[in-house]
Amino acid sequence: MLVVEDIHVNYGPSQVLHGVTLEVNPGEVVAVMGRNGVGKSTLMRSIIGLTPARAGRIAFKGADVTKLPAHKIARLGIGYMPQGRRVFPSLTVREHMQVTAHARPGSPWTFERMLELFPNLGERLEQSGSKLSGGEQTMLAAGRALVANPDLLLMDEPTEGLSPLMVRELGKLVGVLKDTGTPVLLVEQQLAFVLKYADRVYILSKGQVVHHCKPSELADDHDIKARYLGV
Amino acid sequence: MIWIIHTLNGVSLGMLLFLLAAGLSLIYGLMKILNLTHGSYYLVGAYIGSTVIEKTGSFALALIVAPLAVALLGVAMERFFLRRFHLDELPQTLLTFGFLFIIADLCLWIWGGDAILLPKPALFSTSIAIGGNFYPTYRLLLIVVGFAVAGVLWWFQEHTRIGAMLRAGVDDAETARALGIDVSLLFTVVFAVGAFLAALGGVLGGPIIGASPGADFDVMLLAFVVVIVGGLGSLRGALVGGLLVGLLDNFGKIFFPEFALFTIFVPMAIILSFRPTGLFGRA
Repeated sequence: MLVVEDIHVNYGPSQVLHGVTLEVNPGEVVAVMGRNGVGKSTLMRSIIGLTPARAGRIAFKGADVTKLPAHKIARLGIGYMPQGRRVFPSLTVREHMQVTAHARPGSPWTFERMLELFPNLGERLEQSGSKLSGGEQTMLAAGRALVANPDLLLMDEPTEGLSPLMVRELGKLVGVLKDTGTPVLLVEQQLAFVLKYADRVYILSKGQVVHHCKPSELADDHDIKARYLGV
Repeated sequence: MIWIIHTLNGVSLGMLLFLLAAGLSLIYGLMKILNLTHGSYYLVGAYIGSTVIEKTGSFALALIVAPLAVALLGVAMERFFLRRFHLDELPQTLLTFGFLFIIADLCLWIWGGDAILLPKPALFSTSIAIGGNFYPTYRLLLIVVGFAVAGVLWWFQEHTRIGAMLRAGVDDAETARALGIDVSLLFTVVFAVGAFLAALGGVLGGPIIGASPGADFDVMLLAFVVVIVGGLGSLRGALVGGLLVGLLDNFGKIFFPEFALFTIFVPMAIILSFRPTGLFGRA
Protein backbone atom coordinates (compact mmCIF):
# COMPACT_ATOMS: atom_id res chain seq x y z
CA MET A 1 0.00 0.00 0.00
CA LEU A 2 2.59 2.55 1.19
CA VAL A 3 6.32 1.94 0.90
CA VAL A 4 8.83 4.45 2.25
CA GLU A 5 12.38 3.58 1.18
CA ASP A 6 15.44 5.16 2.73
CA ILE A 7 14.16 8.75 2.62
CA HIS A 8 16.36 11.67 3.59
CA VAL A 9 14.49 14.86 4.40
CA ASN A 10 15.59 18.37 5.26
CA TYR A 11 13.40 20.77 7.14
CA GLY A 12 14.81 24.20 6.43
CA PRO A 13 18.59 24.03 6.62
CA SER A 14 18.82 21.00 8.90
CA GLN A 15 18.43 17.36 7.98
CA VAL A 16 15.65 15.71 9.98
CA LEU A 17 15.29 12.23 8.50
CA HIS A 18 18.40 10.15 7.79
CA GLY A 19 17.23 7.22 5.72
CA VAL A 20 13.85 6.12 7.04
CA THR A 21 12.31 2.93 5.67
CA LEU A 22 8.87 1.64 6.57
CA GLU A 23 5.76 0.21 4.99
CA VAL A 24 2.01 0.04 5.57
CA ASN A 25 0.12 -2.97 4.24
CA PRO A 26 -3.58 -3.10 3.35
CA GLY A 27 -5.83 -3.10 6.40
CA GLU A 28 -3.06 -2.35 8.89
CA VAL A 29 -2.83 0.28 11.61
CA VAL A 30 0.85 1.15 11.86
CA ALA A 31 2.16 3.42 14.59
CA VAL A 32 5.26 5.58 14.60
CA MET A 33 6.55 6.48 18.05
CA GLY A 34 9.47 8.42 19.46
CA ARG A 35 10.33 11.40 21.59
CA ASN A 36 9.64 14.98 20.54
CA GLY A 37 11.73 16.25 17.66
CA VAL A 38 12.86 12.91 16.24
CA GLY A 39 11.17 13.62 12.91
CA LYS A 40 7.78 11.93 13.24
CA SER A 41 5.78 14.85 11.86
CA THR A 42 8.37 15.47 9.15
CA LEU A 43 7.90 11.86 8.06
CA MET A 44 4.15 12.45 7.70
CA ARG A 45 4.73 15.71 5.86
CA SER A 46 7.10 13.98 3.44
CA ILE A 47 4.58 11.27 2.65
CA ILE A 48 1.82 13.76 1.86
CA GLY A 49 4.27 15.96 -0.10
CA LEU A 50 4.53 19.07 2.09
CA THR A 51 8.26 18.55 2.75
CA PRO A 52 9.43 16.41 -0.18
CA ALA A 53 12.23 13.92 0.41
CA ARG A 54 15.66 14.96 -0.85
CA ALA A 55 16.68 11.36 -1.49
CA GLY A 56 14.96 8.01 -1.29
CA ARG A 57 11.60 6.91 -2.61
CA ILE A 58 7.97 6.92 -1.49
CA ALA A 59 5.54 4.69 -3.35
CA PHE A 60 1.79 4.58 -2.86
CA LYS A 61 -0.31 1.84 -4.47
CA GLY A 62 2.71 1.09 -6.65
CA ALA A 63 3.13 4.65 -7.99
CA ASP A 64 6.17 6.77 -7.18
CA VAL A 65 4.87 9.85 -5.33
CA THR A 66 8.20 11.11 -3.96
CA LYS A 67 8.23 14.35 -5.93
CA LEU A 68 4.51 14.85 -6.58
CA PRO A 69 2.83 18.04 -5.33
CA ALA A 70 0.80 17.55 -2.14
CA HIS A 71 -2.66 17.94 -3.69
CA LYS A 72 -1.92 15.23 -6.25
CA ILE A 73 -0.72 12.82 -3.58
CA ALA A 74 -3.86 13.55 -1.58
CA ARG A 75 -6.03 12.90 -4.63
CA LEU A 76 -4.32 9.56 -5.23
CA GLY A 77 -5.98 8.53 -1.99
CA ILE A 78 -4.00 9.61 1.06
CA GLY A 79 -5.96 11.38 3.79
CA TYR A 80 -4.10 13.62 6.23
CA MET A 81 -4.90 14.75 9.76
CA PRO A 82 -2.17 17.28 10.53
CA GLN A 83 -0.67 17.77 13.96
CA GLY A 84 -2.66 20.38 15.87
CA ARG A 85 -5.71 19.61 13.67
CA ARG A 86 -5.45 22.87 11.73
CA VAL A 87 -9.13 23.37 10.95
CA PHE A 88 -9.97 26.37 8.77
CA PRO A 89 -11.35 29.29 10.81
CA SER A 90 -13.16 30.79 7.79
CA LEU A 91 -15.01 27.59 6.93
CA THR A 92 -18.09 26.19 8.60
CA VAL A 93 -18.21 22.55 9.65
CA ARG A 94 -20.32 21.77 6.58
CA GLU A 95 -17.88 23.53 4.26
CA HIS A 96 -14.94 21.60 5.71
CA MET A 97 -16.55 18.43 4.49
CA GLN A 98 -17.56 19.91 1.14
CA VAL A 99 -14.23 21.24 -0.07
CA THR A 100 -12.44 17.91 0.30
CA ALA A 101 -15.34 15.58 -0.55
CA HIS A 102 -14.60 13.06 -3.24
CA ALA A 103 -17.04 10.21 -3.63
CA ARG A 104 -16.20 7.22 -5.76
CA PRO A 105 -18.64 4.46 -6.59
CA GLY A 106 -19.05 2.30 -3.52
CA SER A 107 -16.89 4.51 -1.35
CA PRO A 108 -17.91 4.29 2.31
CA TRP A 109 -17.37 7.84 3.61
CA THR A 110 -20.20 10.17 2.74
CA PHE A 111 -21.26 13.39 4.41
CA GLU A 112 -24.21 11.56 6.00
CA ARG A 113 -21.98 8.76 7.27
CA MET A 114 -19.72 11.36 8.93
CA LEU A 115 -22.69 12.86 10.76
CA GLU A 116 -23.68 9.40 11.99
CA LEU A 117 -20.15 8.85 13.22
CA PHE A 118 -19.76 12.32 14.76
CA PRO A 119 -23.23 13.49 15.86
CA ASN A 120 -21.64 16.47 17.65
CA LEU A 121 -20.56 17.90 14.31
CA GLY A 122 -24.06 17.49 12.95
CA GLU A 123 -25.34 19.92 15.56
CA ARG A 124 -22.76 22.52 14.59
CA LEU A 125 -22.86 22.37 10.80
CA GLU A 126 -23.01 26.13 10.30
CA GLN A 127 -20.43 27.03 12.93
CA SER A 128 -16.90 28.13 12.16
CA GLY A 129 -14.25 25.44 12.57
CA SER A 130 -12.41 27.58 15.10
CA LYS A 131 -15.47 27.77 17.42
CA LEU A 132 -15.39 24.03 18.11
CA SER A 133 -13.87 22.36 21.16
CA GLY A 134 -10.54 20.56 20.78
CA GLY A 135 -12.23 17.17 20.57
CA GLU A 136 -14.73 18.38 17.99
CA GLN A 137 -11.92 19.89 15.95
CA THR A 138 -10.20 16.51 15.94
CA MET A 139 -13.39 14.86 14.72
CA LEU A 140 -13.72 17.57 12.06
CA ALA A 141 -10.11 17.02 10.94
CA ALA A 142 -10.90 13.31 10.68
CA GLY A 143 -14.18 13.97 8.89
CA ARG A 144 -12.76 16.29 6.25
CA ALA A 145 -9.96 13.80 5.54
CA LEU A 146 -12.34 10.84 5.32
CA VAL A 147 -14.96 12.38 2.99
CA ALA A 148 -12.24 12.31 0.33
CA ASN A 149 -12.48 8.52 0.74
CA PRO A 150 -8.76 7.90 1.14
CA ASP A 151 -7.17 4.48 0.77
CA LEU A 152 -4.75 5.36 3.58
CA LEU A 153 -5.15 7.80 6.46
CA LEU A 154 -2.21 9.63 8.04
CA MET A 155 -2.94 10.70 11.64
CA ASP A 156 -0.36 12.97 13.22
CA GLU A 157 -0.73 12.92 17.02
CA PRO A 158 -4.54 12.83 16.99
CA THR A 159 -4.88 12.36 20.78
CA GLU A 160 -2.78 15.44 21.57
CA GLY A 161 -4.66 17.65 24.01
CA LEU A 162 -7.77 15.45 24.10
CA SER A 163 -9.72 14.47 27.21
CA PRO A 164 -9.79 10.73 28.05
CA LEU A 165 -13.38 10.64 26.85
CA MET A 166 -12.44 12.08 23.46
CA VAL A 167 -9.46 9.73 23.22
CA ARG A 168 -11.91 6.86 23.59
CA GLU A 169 -14.10 8.37 20.82
CA LEU A 170 -11.04 8.59 18.60
CA GLY A 171 -10.22 4.99 19.41
CA LYS A 172 -13.69 4.02 18.23
CA LEU A 173 -12.98 5.79 14.95
CA VAL A 174 -9.71 3.89 14.49
CA GLY A 175 -11.68 0.71 15.21
CA VAL A 176 -14.21 1.62 12.50
CA LEU A 177 -11.38 2.34 10.06
CA LYS A 178 -9.93 -1.08 10.81
CA ASP A 179 -13.30 -2.71 10.23
CA THR A 180 -13.66 -1.02 6.85
CA GLY A 181 -10.13 -2.08 5.94
CA THR A 182 -8.76 1.46 5.63
CA PRO A 183 -5.10 1.37 6.65
CA VAL A 184 -3.80 4.03 9.04
CA LEU A 185 -0.34 5.40 9.64
CA LEU A 186 -0.44 6.85 13.13
CA VAL A 187 2.09 9.10 14.82
CA GLU A 188 1.34 8.90 18.51
CA GLN A 189 2.85 9.66 21.92
CA GLN A 190 0.29 7.82 24.05
CA LEU A 191 1.60 4.31 24.49
CA ALA A 192 -1.74 2.93 25.71
CA PHE A 193 -3.47 4.12 22.54
CA VAL A 194 -0.84 2.50 20.35
CA LEU A 195 -0.87 -0.76 22.30
CA LYS A 196 -4.62 -0.94 21.92
CA TYR A 197 -5.03 -0.17 18.23
CA ALA A 198 -1.77 -0.65 16.31
CA ASP A 199 -0.79 -3.81 14.44
CA ARG A 200 2.88 -2.84 14.20
CA VAL A 201 5.08 -0.14 15.71
CA TYR A 202 8.12 1.67 14.36
CA ILE A 203 10.27 3.61 16.81
CA LEU A 204 12.09 6.65 15.53
CA SER A 205 15.13 8.25 17.10
CA LYS A 206 17.26 11.05 15.64
CA GLY A 207 15.68 10.68 12.22
CA GLN A 208 16.12 6.92 11.91
CA VAL A 209 14.04 3.83 12.59
CA VAL A 210 15.74 2.21 15.56
CA HIS A 211 13.20 -0.46 16.39
CA HIS A 212 10.31 -2.26 14.75
CA CYS A 213 8.02 -4.68 16.57
CA LYS A 214 4.52 -5.77 17.50
CA PRO A 215 2.74 -3.72 20.17
CA SER A 216 2.64 -6.74 22.47
CA GLU A 217 6.43 -7.00 22.31
CA LEU A 218 6.79 -3.31 23.05
CA ALA A 219 4.60 -3.57 26.13
CA ASP A 220 7.14 -5.84 27.81
CA ASP A 221 10.33 -4.30 26.48
CA HIS A 222 11.26 -1.93 29.30
CA ASP A 223 14.67 -1.20 27.85
CA ILE A 224 13.27 0.14 24.53
CA LYS A 225 10.51 2.05 26.28
CA ALA A 226 12.94 3.73 28.64
CA ARG A 227 15.52 4.50 25.99
CA TYR A 228 13.34 5.81 23.17
CA LEU A 229 9.99 6.73 24.63
CA GLY A 230 10.93 7.99 28.07
CA VAL A 231 8.34 5.75 29.73
CA MET B 1 -27.93 69.38 0.36
CA ILE B 2 -24.42 69.83 -0.96
CA TRP B 3 -23.40 67.12 1.54
CA ILE B 4 -25.33 64.51 -0.37
CA ILE B 5 -23.35 65.41 -3.45
CA HIS B 6 -20.04 65.22 -1.59
CA THR B 7 -21.03 61.93 -0.04
CA LEU B 8 -22.02 60.48 -3.40
CA ASN B 9 -18.68 61.63 -4.81
CA GLY B 10 -16.88 59.92 -1.98
CA VAL B 11 -18.87 56.72 -2.33
CA SER B 12 -18.35 56.53 -6.09
CA LEU B 13 -14.60 57.03 -5.64
CA GLY B 14 -14.72 54.43 -2.90
CA MET B 15 -16.28 51.96 -5.31
CA LEU B 16 -13.46 52.43 -7.79
CA LEU B 17 -10.98 51.91 -4.98
CA PHE B 18 -12.84 48.77 -3.97
CA LEU B 19 -12.46 47.33 -7.48
CA LEU B 20 -8.73 47.94 -7.26
CA ALA B 21 -8.25 46.79 -3.70
CA ALA B 22 -10.33 43.61 -3.91
CA GLY B 23 -7.86 41.86 -6.20
CA LEU B 24 -4.83 43.21 -4.39
CA SER B 25 -6.19 42.01 -1.09
CA LEU B 26 -7.16 38.53 -2.31
CA ILE B 27 -3.81 38.02 -4.05
CA TYR B 28 -1.96 38.96 -0.89
CA GLY B 29 -4.27 36.93 1.31
CA LEU B 30 -3.82 33.73 -0.68
CA MET B 31 -0.33 34.01 -2.09
CA LYS B 32 1.39 36.53 0.22
CA ILE B 33 2.48 38.42 -2.89
CA LEU B 34 2.62 42.18 -2.64
CA ASN B 35 1.69 42.84 -6.25
CA LEU B 36 3.20 46.19 -7.22
CA THR B 37 1.88 45.71 -10.75
CA HIS B 38 -1.69 46.10 -9.59
CA GLY B 39 -1.85 49.80 -10.46
CA SER B 40 -0.57 48.92 -13.92
CA TYR B 41 -3.58 46.67 -14.45
CA TYR B 42 -5.75 49.72 -13.85
CA LEU B 43 -3.75 51.81 -16.31
CA VAL B 44 -3.60 49.18 -19.04
CA GLY B 45 -7.32 48.58 -18.56
CA ALA B 46 -8.06 52.27 -19.04
CA TYR B 47 -5.81 52.52 -22.12
CA ILE B 48 -7.17 49.40 -23.81
CA GLY B 49 -10.65 50.66 -22.98
CA SER B 50 -9.90 53.98 -24.66
CA THR B 51 -8.65 52.21 -27.79
CA VAL B 52 -11.71 49.97 -27.93
CA ILE B 53 -14.03 52.97 -27.58
CA GLU B 54 -12.07 54.86 -30.23
CA LYS B 55 -12.29 51.99 -32.73
CA THR B 56 -15.83 50.77 -32.03
CA GLY B 57 -17.53 53.57 -30.14
CA SER B 58 -18.83 51.06 -27.64
CA PHE B 59 -18.23 51.63 -23.94
CA ALA B 60 -19.90 48.32 -23.11
CA LEU B 61 -17.46 46.46 -25.36
CA ALA B 62 -14.56 48.23 -23.63
CA LEU B 63 -15.91 47.03 -20.29
CA ILE B 64 -15.59 43.44 -21.50
CA VAL B 65 -12.49 43.47 -23.71
CA ALA B 66 -10.12 45.48 -21.51
CA PRO B 67 -10.63 43.46 -18.29
CA LEU B 68 -10.34 40.16 -20.17
CA ALA B 69 -7.11 41.26 -21.87
CA VAL B 70 -5.63 42.41 -18.58
CA ALA B 71 -6.75 39.21 -16.85
CA LEU B 72 -4.68 37.31 -19.46
CA LEU B 73 -1.73 39.56 -18.66
CA GLY B 74 -2.12 38.77 -14.96
CA VAL B 75 -2.36 35.03 -15.61
CA ALA B 76 0.78 35.14 -17.77
CA MET B 77 2.66 36.99 -15.02
CA GLU B 78 1.59 34.46 -12.42
CA ARG B 79 2.10 31.30 -14.48
CA PHE B 80 5.43 32.12 -16.11
CA PHE B 81 7.15 34.33 -13.56
CA LEU B 82 5.79 34.61 -10.02
CA ARG B 83 5.22 30.86 -9.76
CA ARG B 84 8.97 30.29 -9.84
CA PHE B 85 9.38 32.15 -6.55
CA HIS B 86 6.53 30.75 -4.51
CA LEU B 87 6.48 32.26 -0.99
CA ASP B 88 9.80 33.94 -1.68
CA GLU B 89 8.76 37.50 -0.95
CA LEU B 90 11.73 39.55 -2.06
CA PRO B 91 12.12 38.09 -5.58
CA GLN B 92 8.35 38.26 -6.05
CA THR B 93 8.08 41.87 -5.01
CA LEU B 94 11.08 42.84 -7.16
CA LEU B 95 9.56 40.97 -10.08
CA THR B 96 6.26 42.85 -9.80
CA PHE B 97 8.22 46.09 -9.40
CA GLY B 98 10.05 45.29 -12.65
CA PHE B 99 6.78 44.61 -14.42
CA LEU B 100 5.48 47.95 -13.20
CA PHE B 101 8.27 49.76 -15.08
CA ILE B 102 8.12 47.55 -18.17
CA ILE B 103 4.37 48.03 -18.48
CA ALA B 104 4.64 51.77 -17.83
CA ASP B 105 7.16 52.12 -20.65
CA LEU B 106 5.14 49.96 -23.00
CA CYS B 107 2.08 52.13 -22.30
CA LEU B 108 4.10 55.27 -22.96
CA TRP B 109 5.26 53.75 -26.23
CA ILE B 110 1.81 52.62 -27.39
CA TRP B 111 -0.50 55.33 -26.02
CA GLY B 112 1.87 58.29 -25.65
CA GLY B 113 2.45 60.61 -22.72
CA ASP B 114 -0.69 62.76 -22.82
CA ALA B 115 -3.30 62.34 -20.15
CA ILE B 116 -6.51 60.98 -21.61
CA LEU B 117 -10.04 60.98 -20.29
CA LEU B 118 -12.34 58.26 -21.55
CA PRO B 119 -15.69 59.47 -22.94
CA LYS B 120 -18.69 58.54 -20.83
CA PRO B 121 -21.16 56.14 -22.37
CA ALA B 122 -23.96 58.11 -24.04
CA LEU B 123 -26.60 56.55 -21.81
CA PHE B 124 -24.91 57.87 -18.67
CA SER B 125 -23.60 61.25 -19.75
CA THR B 126 -26.63 63.06 -18.36
CA SER B 127 -27.35 64.52 -14.94
CA ILE B 128 -30.29 64.21 -12.64
CA ALA B 129 -31.51 66.58 -9.96
CA ILE B 130 -30.75 65.54 -6.42
CA GLY B 131 -31.91 67.94 -3.71
CA GLY B 132 -31.68 70.98 -5.96
CA ASN B 133 -28.29 70.05 -7.43
CA PHE B 134 -27.51 68.34 -10.68
CA TYR B 135 -25.59 65.14 -10.31
CA PRO B 136 -23.95 63.09 -13.09
CA THR B 137 -25.70 59.75 -13.58
CA TYR B 138 -22.33 58.21 -14.49
CA ARG B 139 -21.19 58.45 -10.88
CA LEU B 140 -24.42 56.82 -9.74
CA LEU B 141 -23.69 54.04 -12.24
CA LEU B 142 -20.27 53.57 -10.60
CA ILE B 143 -21.92 53.14 -7.22
CA VAL B 144 -24.41 50.60 -8.55
CA VAL B 145 -21.73 48.63 -10.41
CA GLY B 146 -19.47 48.69 -7.37
CA PHE B 147 -22.12 47.27 -5.07
CA ALA B 148 -23.12 44.71 -7.72
CA VAL B 149 -19.51 43.51 -8.11
CA ALA B 150 -19.15 43.36 -4.32
CA GLY B 151 -22.33 41.30 -4.13
CA VAL B 152 -21.20 38.85 -6.81
CA LEU B 153 -17.76 38.44 -5.22
CA TRP B 154 -19.30 37.93 -1.80
CA TRP B 155 -21.70 35.32 -3.14
CA PHE B 156 -18.87 33.56 -4.94
CA GLN B 157 -16.67 33.50 -1.87
CA GLU B 158 -19.34 32.47 0.64
CA HIS B 159 -21.63 30.22 -1.35
CA THR B 160 -19.62 28.29 -3.91
CA ARG B 161 -17.31 25.34 -3.43
CA ILE B 162 -14.43 27.16 -5.12
CA GLY B 163 -15.06 30.13 -2.82
CA ALA B 164 -14.80 27.85 0.21
CA MET B 165 -11.58 26.36 -1.20
CA LEU B 166 -10.28 29.88 -1.63
CA ARG B 167 -11.03 30.71 2.01
CA ALA B 168 -9.37 27.48 3.10
CA GLY B 169 -6.31 28.45 1.05
CA VAL B 170 -6.19 31.91 2.61
CA ASP B 171 -6.54 30.39 6.11
CA ASP B 172 -3.89 27.71 5.70
CA ALA B 173 -2.55 27.02 2.21
CA GLU B 174 -0.39 24.13 3.34
CA THR B 175 -3.20 22.15 4.96
CA ALA B 176 -5.46 22.92 2.00
CA ARG B 177 -2.90 21.39 -0.37
CA ALA B 178 -2.44 18.34 1.83
CA LEU B 179 -6.21 17.77 1.66
CA GLY B 180 -6.20 17.68 -2.13
CA ILE B 181 -7.10 21.28 -2.95
CA ASP B 182 -5.17 22.53 -5.97
CA VAL B 183 -4.02 25.78 -4.40
CA SER B 184 -1.76 26.64 -7.33
CA LEU B 185 -4.79 26.62 -9.62
CA LEU B 186 -6.55 28.92 -7.15
CA PHE B 187 -3.53 31.26 -7.41
CA THR B 188 -4.08 31.58 -11.13
CA VAL B 189 -7.83 32.11 -10.72
CA VAL B 190 -7.30 34.78 -8.09
CA PHE B 191 -4.68 36.55 -10.18
CA ALA B 192 -7.02 36.54 -13.17
CA VAL B 193 -9.95 37.87 -11.12
CA GLY B 194 -7.77 40.49 -9.41
CA ALA B 195 -6.37 41.79 -12.70
CA PHE B 196 -9.85 41.70 -14.25
CA LEU B 197 -11.32 43.83 -11.47
CA ALA B 198 -8.45 46.35 -11.55
CA ALA B 199 -8.88 46.76 -15.31
CA LEU B 200 -12.64 47.08 -14.86
CA GLY B 201 -11.81 49.89 -12.44
CA GLY B 202 -9.58 51.37 -15.13
CA VAL B 203 -12.35 51.51 -17.73
CA LEU B 204 -14.99 52.67 -15.25
CA GLY B 205 -12.64 55.22 -13.70
CA GLY B 206 -11.44 56.33 -17.14
CA PRO B 207 -14.08 59.08 -17.55
CA ILE B 208 -13.38 60.41 -14.02
CA ILE B 209 -9.74 59.79 -13.11
CA GLY B 210 -8.49 59.13 -16.60
CA ALA B 211 -5.24 57.52 -17.69
CA SER B 212 -1.80 59.07 -17.82
CA PRO B 213 1.79 58.08 -17.13
CA GLY B 214 2.14 57.87 -13.36
CA ALA B 215 -1.52 57.02 -12.74
CA ASP B 216 -0.41 53.44 -12.11
CA PHE B 217 1.66 54.61 -9.13
CA ASP B 218 -1.04 56.92 -7.76
CA VAL B 219 -3.73 54.29 -8.02
CA MET B 220 -1.53 51.60 -6.49
CA LEU B 221 -0.76 53.84 -3.53
CA LEU B 222 -4.45 54.44 -2.85
CA ALA B 223 -5.23 50.74 -3.26
CA PHE B 224 -2.54 49.89 -0.74
CA VAL B 225 -4.02 52.32 1.76
CA VAL B 226 -7.45 50.74 1.26
CA VAL B 227 -6.09 47.24 1.76
CA ILE B 228 -4.08 48.22 4.83
CA VAL B 229 -7.04 49.99 6.41
CA GLY B 230 -9.51 47.23 5.54
CA GLY B 231 -7.24 44.31 6.39
CA LEU B 232 -5.28 42.08 4.02
CA GLY B 233 -7.10 39.12 2.53
CA SER B 234 -10.59 40.35 3.36
CA LEU B 235 -13.19 41.29 0.73
CA ARG B 236 -15.30 43.06 3.31
CA GLY B 237 -12.18 44.97 4.33
CA ALA B 238 -11.61 46.05 0.73
CA LEU B 239 -15.20 47.31 0.47
CA VAL B 240 -15.30 49.15 3.80
CA GLY B 241 -11.73 50.40 3.35
CA GLY B 242 -12.53 51.62 -0.15
CA LEU B 243 -15.60 53.54 1.00
CA LEU B 244 -13.73 54.99 3.97
CA VAL B 245 -10.76 56.16 1.91
CA GLY B 246 -13.06 57.46 -0.85
CA LEU B 247 -15.05 59.53 1.65
CA LEU B 248 -11.97 60.69 3.56
CA ASP B 249 -10.27 61.76 0.36
CA ASN B 250 -13.33 63.64 -0.82
CA PHE B 251 -14.16 65.44 2.43
CA GLY B 252 -10.48 65.99 3.16
CA LYS B 253 -10.12 67.90 -0.08
CA ILE B 254 -13.08 70.07 0.89
CA PHE B 255 -12.10 70.87 4.48
CA PHE B 256 -8.31 70.82 4.20
CA PRO B 257 -7.49 71.31 0.53
CA GLU B 258 -3.86 72.07 1.36
CA PHE B 259 -3.38 68.65 3.01
CA ALA B 260 -4.65 66.40 0.24
CA LEU B 261 -2.94 63.09 1.11
CA PHE B 262 -2.68 63.93 4.80
CA THR B 263 -6.39 63.26 5.32
CA ILE B 264 -5.93 59.69 4.08
CA PHE B 265 -2.69 58.74 5.73
CA VAL B 266 -3.36 60.15 9.19
CA PRO B 267 -6.57 58.14 9.66
CA MET B 268 -4.70 55.12 8.29
CA ALA B 269 -1.99 55.57 10.91
CA ILE B 270 -4.61 55.96 13.64
CA ILE B 271 -6.49 52.83 12.58
CA LEU B 272 -3.26 50.84 12.39
CA SER B 273 -2.20 51.91 15.86
CA PHE B 274 -5.43 50.44 17.27
CA ARG B 275 -5.85 47.55 14.85
CA PRO B 276 -2.49 46.59 13.39
CA THR B 277 -4.07 44.06 11.02
CA GLY B 278 -6.60 46.55 9.65
CA LEU B 279 -10.34 46.71 10.30
CA PHE B 280 -11.17 43.18 9.13
CA GLY B 281 -7.73 41.61 8.94
CA ARG B 282 -6.61 38.59 10.90
CA ALA B 283 -3.27 38.25 12.60
